Amino acid sequence: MTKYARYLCADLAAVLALAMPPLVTLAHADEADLRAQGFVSQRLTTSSGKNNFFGDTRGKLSADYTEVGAGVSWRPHSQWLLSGQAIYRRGGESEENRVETDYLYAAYTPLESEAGHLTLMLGKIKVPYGLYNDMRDTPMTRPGILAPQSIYPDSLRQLTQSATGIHMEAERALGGDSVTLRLSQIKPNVRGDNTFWTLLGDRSLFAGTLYTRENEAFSGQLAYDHDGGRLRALISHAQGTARYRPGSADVWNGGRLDFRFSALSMQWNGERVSLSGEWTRNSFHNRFDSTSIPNLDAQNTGNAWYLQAQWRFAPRWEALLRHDVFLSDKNDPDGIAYAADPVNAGKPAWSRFARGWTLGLRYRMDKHWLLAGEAHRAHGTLWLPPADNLSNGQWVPGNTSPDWNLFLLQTTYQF
Amino acid sequence: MIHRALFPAVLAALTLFTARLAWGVDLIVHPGVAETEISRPLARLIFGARVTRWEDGSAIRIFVLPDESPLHQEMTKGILDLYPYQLRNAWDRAIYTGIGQAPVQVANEAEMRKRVASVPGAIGYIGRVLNNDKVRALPVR
Repeated sequence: MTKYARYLCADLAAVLALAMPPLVTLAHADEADLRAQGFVSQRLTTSSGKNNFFGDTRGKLSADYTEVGAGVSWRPHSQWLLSGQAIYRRGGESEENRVETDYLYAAYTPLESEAGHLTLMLGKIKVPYGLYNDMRDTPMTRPGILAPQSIYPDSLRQLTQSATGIHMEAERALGGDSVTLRLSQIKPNVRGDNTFWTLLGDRSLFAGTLYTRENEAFSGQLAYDHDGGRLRALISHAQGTARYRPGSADVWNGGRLDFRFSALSMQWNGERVSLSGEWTRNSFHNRFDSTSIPNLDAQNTGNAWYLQAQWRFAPRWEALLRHDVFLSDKNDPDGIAYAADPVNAGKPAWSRFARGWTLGLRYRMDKHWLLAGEAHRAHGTLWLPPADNLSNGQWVPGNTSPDWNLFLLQTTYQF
Repeated sequence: MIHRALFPAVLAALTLFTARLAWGVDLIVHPGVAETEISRPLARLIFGARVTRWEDGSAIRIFVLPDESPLHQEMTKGILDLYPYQLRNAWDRAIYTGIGQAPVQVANEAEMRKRVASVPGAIGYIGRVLNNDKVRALPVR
């Protein structure tokens, strides 16, 4: 048995041992108010050049990435829903290799009718942003094996996917159309290694840690669904502040990073074809104080967009074609000015953008099994997870390949 | 003359055939459900797992056939005016973000009749409601 297979078996056994007893009990209680759901998903990944993607994937076929999720929802009263899901991910240095709470909340729906509904939620929720942010953590609800990395980079997943807070959803029906407003006050998670590397970039310059306070992050979304979702248009916004706690012998006394993400999304759903397009504007403002070196005050605005076609060419089969563009700085789309600046010596232009194509195929055997394959061709490394690509413990963007391929196969079982 | 006689016959046959496609499926409810008819937008909301209770506050229990079943496709397209994958996406989203509970899938029409007749608050669909059925048809207005 290989090392990976041993790890995988041990990991899966641990999670399933935790999840199985309540799930077996619930398996036949299908019209009751208590429901259970879950999934197990395994990837095979290989990548080219010097680039690793969630595991040791360069130049070899890696089974490093596993996702397992299990949860329950309980409706103790017609106006109340209690919902929770635990999730476990294993994926190279980028994932924390432990069971975490994906979501856990109480939802109260005082108003619900043909005219619309009002729901309030309290707890850890999936943050609604764009078409896919609240659905990107389960293989069945992602468009493809990977969600569009330009807008939903897995390297920033821990920051953006779910957060503790309060949440309101109000929906008004207008004939066959509907307007939905979602507002959240959240406390994002900034603990992850990839979040640190992506937001700050250099451990030798930033020895401390990031944290968030209560009441400093908000998100909102306004969605219009025409004719039951045949045409969808969404505006989303999320903003927050991460604070810097200096490490020992740190040159910085403290600091804060303000981030603001805005997205416009459109989707058309035909019988065989769905077309989606999203555009985002991501701005960052970093301020750090020091008594030994000059204060840092840097602002940066980037853009990302993608266009995607999904084609259901036969029952149970779906093909996917996507073009993705992700820019760190909208005024320097090729990173040339950045690379030419002496301050950024050794940091290549290609670390400031990523442009790429995705071709995918998926086969939904039945309601339980999903098989998928996907090929990516990327120019630039902006969505490459730093934690899997460190050189002697440091993120050195120059030690990556600018033009690279990524191939993924995935099997998922859900219940 | 033959052509003249054939034309109305073919037209009638075509009309019957298309009527069968569009209306060869009835929504059914448990006999205890108070509603006597339903609008198409409300039917969409119910089968999309977004409206979860009847007007009297009691819970709605949704029963569906497998995605590939012709009757499910007919109900989805003919009554809801949606595509089956849209419903499946809505259910996956409801289940895996925890915001709702998915319908219960039954194997065939006979089981659908049996479950809708026995579960209070149930809604489902069958090809045609018969006189001795214990379920009640719910016309879409």
